[in-house]
Amino acid sequence: MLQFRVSPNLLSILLIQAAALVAAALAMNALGGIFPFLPGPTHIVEEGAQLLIRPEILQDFGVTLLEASFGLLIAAGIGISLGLVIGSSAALVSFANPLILALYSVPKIVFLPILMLIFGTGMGPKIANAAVHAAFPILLNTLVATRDTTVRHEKLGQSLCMTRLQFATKILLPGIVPPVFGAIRLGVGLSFMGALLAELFQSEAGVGHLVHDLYNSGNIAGMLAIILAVLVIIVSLNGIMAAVENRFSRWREI
Amino acid sequence: MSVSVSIENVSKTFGVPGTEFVAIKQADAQIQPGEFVSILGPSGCGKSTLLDMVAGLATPSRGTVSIHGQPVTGPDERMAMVFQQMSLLPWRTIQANVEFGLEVRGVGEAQRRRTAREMIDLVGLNGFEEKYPSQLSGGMNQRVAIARALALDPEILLMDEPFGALDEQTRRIMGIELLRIWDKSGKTIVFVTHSISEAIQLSDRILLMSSRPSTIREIIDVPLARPRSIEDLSSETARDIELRVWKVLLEETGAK
Ligand SMILES: Nc1ncnc2c1ncn2[C@@H]1O[C@H](COP(=O)(O)OP(=O)(O)OP(=O)(O)O)[C@@H](O)[C@H]1O
Ligand SMILES: [Mg+2]
Repeated sequence: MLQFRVSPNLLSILLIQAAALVAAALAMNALGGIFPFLPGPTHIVEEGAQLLIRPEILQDFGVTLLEASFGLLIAAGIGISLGLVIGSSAALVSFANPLILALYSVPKIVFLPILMLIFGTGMGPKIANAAVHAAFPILLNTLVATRDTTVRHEKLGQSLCMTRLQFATKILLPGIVPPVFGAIRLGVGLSFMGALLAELFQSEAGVGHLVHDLYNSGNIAGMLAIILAVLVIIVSLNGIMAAVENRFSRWREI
Repeated sequence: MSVSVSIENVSKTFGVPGTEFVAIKQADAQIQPGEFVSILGPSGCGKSTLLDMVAGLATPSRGTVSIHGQPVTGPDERMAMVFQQMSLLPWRTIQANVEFGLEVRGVGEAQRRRTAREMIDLVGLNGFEEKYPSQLSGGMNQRVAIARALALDPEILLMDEPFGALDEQTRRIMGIELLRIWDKSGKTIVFVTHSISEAIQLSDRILLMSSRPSTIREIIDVPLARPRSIEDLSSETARDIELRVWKVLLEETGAK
């Protein structure tokens, strides 16, 4: 265990992940004995393969991916700009923080009916729901990072007679990049979740719709296969973002 | 020559009327050009506040701070500050950190590079130009902060417990290096510390502050020859000064 921490190379991480997968499959097999309706791993793989080779699958995933991406983009735009504005003022922070924290702890799904009223049907409410899910961590992280960076380097800025613009471009923006990027990474999963949830409620298209259909037609193995595919996509996107992050913040590693 | 820094009848109060909080009750001092002066006092007595007022980062509630007779109204190019907290920009390399002030002042790139290299050399960090602050020790980072301030070529260098986070040995060695730089540059240095031995090692004079609401209780001369050897620093004179400072500090904190 200690050795693993000293040299966390990719291979050992992958090995452990593979082992976890095998363990999960074995556990499912065992559970299959207790809950007969749970399909076994081989069954899931078979059904999954059949579902995934259909041409329509691209459209299902495409719709959800599109909704999640737009949602994340909107969440990042609103979260970062609002976070910068609020975080730049101590007074605004103490005013807005309790509100944001309260909203943060509300399950975002309660806003879906309102979003459906506003945006009707189609991709609109899904994009909006994805945005609502991803926006809060981005907003909070931007806000906190903005406040921290401002307070920490305020005197340096003053003593060098920096203009507001200089402070923003040379200190504030570079200072908040790591936490904001981390929050966007978190937002990837959350925007997917938002899009999928909306597709389950208002079942018209996308992966959520597909899962809904598979459940209704009793194809539990197929449903689980699709859910696994979603997981793989989210984990891969996360990995890609982490790699980008590392590349652009060389200064954080030693 | 005129007085470099003059602190006259200064007080500093925080907060709004009604719940006022007197940090500094009364401060008066005159610092000569080229002098090395320490501000020494118990924690929370207002050392940083006093230094900030000299730097133009805070305004006195009463009285004036002036530089060569002109009242300080804000930050001034003749002064540069080394801060109490770690204030390097972690996303910039050492070179880019040292260049930072010059960059802000609009100095051209070639000149900036050259000056920064000289300063990095002066503080003994050759070869670390392309490293990041997270890759250097605390003491090395403090040297970078000093180099960043020196790069601005200020007439007056204001230092707020620059070695406060360092261990005894590193602190002593950094002090020796600071004196070497000071000796070469002829700058005026105002140095905040809460270490008595550091104040004796470094200063021409010590401004000894009382606890809050504070005053400058005493201004103590340190008549030791320079450069000061270990023997000088444990001489009779040095020990007398230490004893005197201790007495005042213990009296201030109410201990016996
Ligand atoms: N901006 C501020 N608003 C209100 N009170 C302040 C402010 N800055 C400092 N103070 C108070 O003024 C007093 C003096 O603070 P200061 O930071 O100058 O002390 P110090 O001598 O530098 O202490 P230390 O040795 O711990 O750094 C403290 O009691 C502090 O709480
Ligand atoms: Mg202080």
